[in-house]
Amino acid sequence: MKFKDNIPIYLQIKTFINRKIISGEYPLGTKIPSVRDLSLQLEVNINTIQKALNELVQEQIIFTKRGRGNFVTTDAHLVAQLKAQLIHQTLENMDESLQAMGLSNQEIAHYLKLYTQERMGLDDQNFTN
Amino acid sequence: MTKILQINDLTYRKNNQTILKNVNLSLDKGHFVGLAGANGAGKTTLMRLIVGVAKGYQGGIVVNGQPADVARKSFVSYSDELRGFKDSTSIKDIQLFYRLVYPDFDSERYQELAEFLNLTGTKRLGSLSKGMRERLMIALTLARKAPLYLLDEPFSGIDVMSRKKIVRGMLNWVDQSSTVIISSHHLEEITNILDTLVIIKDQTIFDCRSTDELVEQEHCSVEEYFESIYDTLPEDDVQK
Repeated sequence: MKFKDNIPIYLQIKTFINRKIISGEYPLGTKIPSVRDLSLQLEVNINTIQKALNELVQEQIIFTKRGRGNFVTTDAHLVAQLKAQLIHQTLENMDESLQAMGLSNQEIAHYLKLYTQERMGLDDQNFTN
Repeated sequence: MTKILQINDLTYRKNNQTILKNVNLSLDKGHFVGLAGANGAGKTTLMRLIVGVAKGYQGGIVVNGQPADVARKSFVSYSDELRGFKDSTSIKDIQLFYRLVYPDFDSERYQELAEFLNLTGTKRLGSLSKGMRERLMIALTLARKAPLYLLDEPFSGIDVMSRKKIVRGMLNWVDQSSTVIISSHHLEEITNILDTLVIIKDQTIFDCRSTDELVEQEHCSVEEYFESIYDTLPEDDVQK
C-alpha cells in the first residue's frame, strides 16, 4: 500500500480498516486479518499495525477475543456513526479546498451537482457500452 | 525483560579524535529502528561498538541484559562487511563457516533467503558485484536467529526494484521479538517498515522517537525532518 509520508502511518491504517468495515468488506462480527497478515499485506511494521488496532479497540470498532484475534463490532449503529463521521470528514476536506479557491457555498453546491451529473453520465455510458 | 539494548554515557575516541560522546540510547525488543546521520556521523562506529568489534570506549553497553563483549557477540547478528574472508572463498564456504561459528545460524532459513535474494552458492566472493555482496550479507545476517540485528547501509548497491522487494521481505524474515537496526541514507525507502528513528548528529544521539510520533509532532515526513536538522549548516558541510 502507498502511504502519504506526512501523516502518521498508523492513522492511515485506521482509515484503511474503517473503510473496509464501512464498505462491508469486513462484515459485522467477523474476524479481520491477523496483525502479521496485515503487516505483510500493507508492508508495514507489526508495531505500527498494533498501534492502529489498539486505537480501534479503544474506539470499540473492533474487539479482541483472547487467542483468537480481532473481530469487527456487531453494533450496526456504531458502524453507521463511523460511516457518517468519515463522510463528513471527506466532505469537510473537499469543502475546505474549494473555499480556499474563493468559491461561495452556492458555487460549491453547483459544481458538486455538475460533477455528480457528469460522473453519472459517464457511468451510464460505461454501462451501455 | 523488554530491553534489548541499553547504552549509558558512551564516549569513543580514536586517534585523539572524538567520534561519539555522551551517547545514551535505550531500545526495546521487537522494533525496526532506523539509524540516520550524515556521512562520518558515527553510524558504523556505533554498530561496531554495540557488537563489540570496536574496543576502548568509555561508558556502558548492555545487550539483552549482558555487558560482556563475548555475550554481546552472541546476541548481535552483524556482518561487518565480510572482513576476513578471501576473495577466492565461495559463498558456500562462507555459509559453512557461519554455521560452524554461530549456533543460532539457521541453514534452512539461509536457503530460503538465498533463493529470495538470487544467490548462487558456487560463486566466489571476489567475483560478486557490490549489490550481490550486499545480498549475501543480508542473507548471512538474517539467517541467524538473534535478538538484535544490525544492518549497515544494507541496500546502497542493490538496484531500486530489488530494494523494495527486500525491504518488504525484511518484515517476513525477522522474528517478532527481535529488534533490527538499519542505517540508511535513503530514509524514504525504509520508513514504512520502521517504527523508531534514531538520529546521530554532533557526535551524539540527536533524536530517538517513534516515527509516527515524529510525523505527528513535527507535521512533516520523516525525511523532511531529517533534512531540516541539517538546514542550518553552511552548504559545503551539507554536501559532504
